[in-house]
Amino acid sequence: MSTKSAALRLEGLYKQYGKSAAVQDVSLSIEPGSMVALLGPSGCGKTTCLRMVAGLVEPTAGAIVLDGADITRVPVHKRNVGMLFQNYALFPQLTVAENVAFGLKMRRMAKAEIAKRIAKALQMVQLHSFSDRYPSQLSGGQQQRVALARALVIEPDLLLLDEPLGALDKGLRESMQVELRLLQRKLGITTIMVTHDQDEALTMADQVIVMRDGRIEQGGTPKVIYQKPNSQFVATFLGASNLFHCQMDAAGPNILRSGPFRFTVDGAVPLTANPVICLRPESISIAAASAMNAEGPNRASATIEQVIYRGPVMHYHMKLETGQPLVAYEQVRPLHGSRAIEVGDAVVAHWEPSSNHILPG
Amino acid sequence: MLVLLLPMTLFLLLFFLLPAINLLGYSIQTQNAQGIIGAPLTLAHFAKFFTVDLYLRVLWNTLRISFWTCIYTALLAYPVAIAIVSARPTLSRVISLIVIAPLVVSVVVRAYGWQLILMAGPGGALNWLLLSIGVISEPLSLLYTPTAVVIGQVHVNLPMMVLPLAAAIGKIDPNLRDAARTLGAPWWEVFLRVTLPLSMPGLVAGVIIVFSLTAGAFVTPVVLGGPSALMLGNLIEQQIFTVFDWPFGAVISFILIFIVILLNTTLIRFVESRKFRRAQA
Ligand SMILES: Nc1ncnc2c1ncn2[C@@H]1O[C@H](COP(=O)(O)OP(=O)(O)OP(=O)(O)O)[C@@H](O)[C@H]1O
Ligand SMILES: [Mg+2]
Repeated sequence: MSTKSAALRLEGLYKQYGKSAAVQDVSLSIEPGSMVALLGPSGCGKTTCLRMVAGLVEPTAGAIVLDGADITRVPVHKRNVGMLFQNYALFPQLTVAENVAFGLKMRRMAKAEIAKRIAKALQMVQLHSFSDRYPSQLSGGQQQRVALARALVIEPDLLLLDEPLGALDKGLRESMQVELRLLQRKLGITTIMVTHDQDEALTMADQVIVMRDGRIEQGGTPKVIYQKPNSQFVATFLGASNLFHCQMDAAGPNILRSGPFRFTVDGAVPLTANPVICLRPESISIAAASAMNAEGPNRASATIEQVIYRGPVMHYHMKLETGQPLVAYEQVRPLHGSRAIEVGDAVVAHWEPSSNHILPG
Repeated sequence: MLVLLLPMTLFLLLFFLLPAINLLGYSIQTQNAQGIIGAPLTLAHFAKFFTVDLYLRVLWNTLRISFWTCIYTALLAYPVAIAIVSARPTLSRVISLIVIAPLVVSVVVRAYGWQLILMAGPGGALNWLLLSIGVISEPLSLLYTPTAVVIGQVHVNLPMMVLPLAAAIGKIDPNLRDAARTLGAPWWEVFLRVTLPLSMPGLVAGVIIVFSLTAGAFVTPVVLGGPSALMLGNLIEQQIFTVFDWPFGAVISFILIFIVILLNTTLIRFVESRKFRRAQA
């Protein structure tokens, strides 16, 4: 199965439903062969965006450009996109092979060629021995693989996935994530995936687009989105964050103050009205109060409220002297022996200046 | 559960099964000059039905009219049912209401209404309309033809087809249609390959109702069909009330019931066949 990699550009897409706008001014550019994840809370317009790209929903305004050609008004059945639905959407009255053949029949392909491609597509998803079964005789994971074969067998320009793994259990979902990503890379097919699972987005995508209320909040590589969120929304939507509302400190241009705590940053603080410090839990270290002085910047004394063992990491939920909560994650290192931090212990939380990420208030 | 079915079972037993058996009894007995029905048993009435040309023609008329009524009702009902399912809630309720509303008007009244519309000569509403917009130059003679009966029956039976179809189409996952479209199916392929096969249970239910009602019709053929479109129902009525030949009336009734039951069981068996059910699951 060969697919040519297509470049996709969305230019100022809008979708209005009655008085409310489901999608507003979504512009984005997708490199040929890359995988983009649309991530955001329920109702933020992810599905609407994807369906506009598929042609299932007509945009109120804006343009969809595929390899330089404006396809905004091209009807769905002429777009050559492969789409995966959360509930698989396999045709129940057709066998696995007939399901996969559907798109090829629509293309009036010769019988022998269809048979050859079905065999190849089912081989690709390791379901060649299931071709005569009906969808109701397959497990959820198998059904989604059939749907994937059905979508890819037509050699689409784009692959669109709407929460494709949402209905699978955790273990299967994680292995399918890897499988899907490998296949997507191998075929080099430009892909958009919708998800509200941040782990899935970070695991699978080259680019993560975080959406909120129909708009793009931030787009970038998983690393950028996670490490350099540009708003409190993105910071809290992706992973846990400790947020501190700060003021500039008279002591220096690179010092921020939040109550009794001081934060230093490398270089000068960018000028924002009410800066907020975002501190990721994994960048915080914990020392016993007896072993470390809580004075100084990038330090805070705290009391341990809860210790959660999560296998590879420990989660420490603490309470600062101001009553604010603080969360820290620590890698579990069996060789180093376990640390005796227990509920009620007085500790000092400390971190590097480079961990202080400044957000606009 | 069984207790709940008891009243219905008793009702059917008393008012359907017993009369039907009684009828079958009449059909193989002899009626003497005084009109008393009794021995000896005979198959002569059945033989008469199948040897006289007129009766076979009426049987053929009945089958033909019922068949075409089913076809046209289904063709009209599909777009309406699809509209009911895909329209916004208020609009879909309005359409349903319009479809159901004619049911409150008696079949007799509606048949006479169609008579006014289909009447021959320039006085008929349809002829007047077609003549005045110039579609035809000579008035059509639609009234008193099998076509007129089919038109009247399609109108009467439309709700009986629309409702089961809408119920069946409403159960189809809309993503299936979207999946078909993304795979390259234009709207008619979506209909033929997704909507039609998956709404089969609704279509079969509709066909059973419409065929049964049409095959047994006698008001519409009398008012709109006239002598050239006599149906079995009219023949039965004549035999019972005009000719007073009850055994022969019973034969015709028996044949009518037999046809309807045969069709129903065949269609029901088709819907319940294993392959079909598994595909629906
Ligand atoms: N056909 C429609 N008619 C009216 N409003 C709609 C329609 N489809 C979606 N909306 C609205 O548009 C908004 C965005 O919906 P959309 O389905 O794109 O969200 P989503 O991000 O996919 O959410 P989820 O994660 O729950 O699937 C929602 O407020 C929804 O109510
Ligand atoms: Mg959605």
